[in-house]
Amino acid sequence: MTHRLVVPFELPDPQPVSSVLVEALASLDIVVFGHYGLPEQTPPAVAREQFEAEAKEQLAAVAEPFEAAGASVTIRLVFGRDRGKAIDQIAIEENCDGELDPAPTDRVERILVPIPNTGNVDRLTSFVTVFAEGHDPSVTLLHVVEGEGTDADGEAVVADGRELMVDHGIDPDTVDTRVVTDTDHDAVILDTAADYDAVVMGEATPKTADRIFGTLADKIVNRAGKPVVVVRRNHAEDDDGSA
Amino acid sequence: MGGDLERDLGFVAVLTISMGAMIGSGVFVLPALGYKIAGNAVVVAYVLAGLVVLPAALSKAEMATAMPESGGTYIFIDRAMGPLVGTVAGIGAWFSLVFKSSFALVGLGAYLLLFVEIPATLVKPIALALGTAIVVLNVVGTKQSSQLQSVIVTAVVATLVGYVVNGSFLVEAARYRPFDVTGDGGVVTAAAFVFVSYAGVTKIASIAEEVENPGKNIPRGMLASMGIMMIVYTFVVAVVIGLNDPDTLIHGGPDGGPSLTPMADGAAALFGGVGVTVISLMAVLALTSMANAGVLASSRFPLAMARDSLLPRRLAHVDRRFKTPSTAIAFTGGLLLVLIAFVPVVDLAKLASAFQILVFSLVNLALVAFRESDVPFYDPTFRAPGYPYVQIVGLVGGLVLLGQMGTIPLLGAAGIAMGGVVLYLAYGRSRTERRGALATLFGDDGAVQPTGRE
Repeated sequence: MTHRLVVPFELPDPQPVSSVLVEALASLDIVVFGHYGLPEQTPPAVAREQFEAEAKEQLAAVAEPFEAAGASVTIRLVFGRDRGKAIDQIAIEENCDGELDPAPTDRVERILVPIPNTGNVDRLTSFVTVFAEGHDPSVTLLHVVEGEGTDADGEAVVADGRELMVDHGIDPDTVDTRVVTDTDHDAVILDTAADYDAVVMGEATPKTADRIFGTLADKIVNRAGKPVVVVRRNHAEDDDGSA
Repeated sequence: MGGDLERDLGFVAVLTISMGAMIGSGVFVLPALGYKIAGNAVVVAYVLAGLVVLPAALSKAEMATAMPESGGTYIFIDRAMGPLVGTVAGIGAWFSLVFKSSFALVGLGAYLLLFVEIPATLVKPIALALGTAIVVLNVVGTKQSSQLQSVIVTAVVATLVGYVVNGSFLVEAARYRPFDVTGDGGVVTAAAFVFVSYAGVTKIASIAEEVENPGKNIPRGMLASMGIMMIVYTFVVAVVIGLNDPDTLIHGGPDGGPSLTPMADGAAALFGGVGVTVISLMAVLALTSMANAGVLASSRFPLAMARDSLLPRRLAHVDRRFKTPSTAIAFTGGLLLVLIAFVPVVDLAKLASAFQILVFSLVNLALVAFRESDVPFYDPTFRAPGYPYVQIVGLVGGLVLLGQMGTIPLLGAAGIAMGGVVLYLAYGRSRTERRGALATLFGDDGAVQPTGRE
């Protein structure tokens, strides 16, 4: 299957995505999503009336490199108040299974893939494969053992992940694994991300703290300054009560 | 075109938003002013006011499910009865909300004085300073405050429940006997006076676009929030009366007028002796949030009218830097500050209620116009029960209340209506082609559109 990736842009005056990142993502279906953030004082319809033409022009400009690189591109524009919520909504409507949190980067040679011990490891690895297509980057699978787990459990998790990737056709020599035992899972990933060019990770189950302080992916973008591809949870599965 | 909002507000969210819009001056400031008018029968006045609001709330719930647009009240009336009545309604709704916010700010100033020992003559300057801050905040733009809002509502409701439970052990039963009208007005006058306490119920109409399953959640949220607020008002006002010496309520305010902080007056014995502090803190929270919401919501009226060419286009302009309709907000804020500075506090409350009654009467009429004319775009998912009797009762009730309010509010309401007519004839008439749904009853199938703009 082809993966669909939503690439959010903050309007007005969106930041273009680095050309190496555009290249790396060109084999995916791209949904270029412009979010025009509004304060609660402004009815969206009024802002749309006034700024729509200009916003569409700016979106077309940031979408153009993706088209030039051969990606199939869909453009969506929303005037609203809540960026995170809007991205979720578009991702569901457009059937996207991933989301890019862009950050400036000049190469995509080393990719960090934090692997949890639950969840959609299969989708995660399949995404990494597509992302890595034709670029042969080196991939590091990282698992952080928290609390009850043992190193052996951690090794099993990353070994399974590695096997999946090799099944998907990735050169085994390019995949290494790391297991770290630490009480602060997020801090480890944040620190490690500094040594890589990009991060591909699964979407975490939303916590209240994330709503206030931002998700781990946001922190990686803001503090480590690395682009992150977040592989979305399968929301349909979650609704059945299985994580 | 739509697609900018997702419907994610459920019943509880609707209930919280609606209650949050109502809790404010009605419970923290008005009880003593109402007591001065009707004596201990003011408790009944709150219930009566709620009953008169109810038909307009039902009418509005129905129209909100057919036309979920910001600037609700004005839009409904304009589309139903055309731009002339629309202009009157828009100006009336705008003034009513601005008056209400001014009144909330004056009350806020009075409660703040309870924390610090400064002379009562400073109430207005403090209200002006706070008002200026709130207007600036709205011009600059604020992010989603709905979560904060629900925290405030929960805290305030919890405090009110505590106040009632705590206070009911301390009330003096003698103050309810004889249960009678002892003030200088009557129950009906007092009801007209506290009418504005329920105005917040219409807030739901303005967020109709974001409500999931609007046909169910909007009417249920409105009715449930009104029911809860009627009960809250009844109990709180009863405790206020039972806790306080009548003289404190009637002469405890600035310049020997009625108290503006009735909930704090007898609260010293509550919550283990820190009652005054707790109540004042909650009052400050609730009134700040009310004044802020009032500035935000009232600026929507000139904005919507400007989009319909009834006011200069400039008022619909969104500022590039702040992304807010800064002209409409500044214009509204200017009026707010002028009112605080120059209008006596009791008149602020009276006029807010009078304009509100006028607008609610028009809301009932608007529903009749839509139902009778049966225009194609009008397709509500909720249909108000008891049509047309409920609307007629609401209209008559409103006019009765208005008639009991005395000269200043009556003149104010008439003045606003006249002003609206003059404004329409001088400005809007030559610039708009719209007809209301009502026109189709007279064989005019003119330009009736759901939005009037493309």
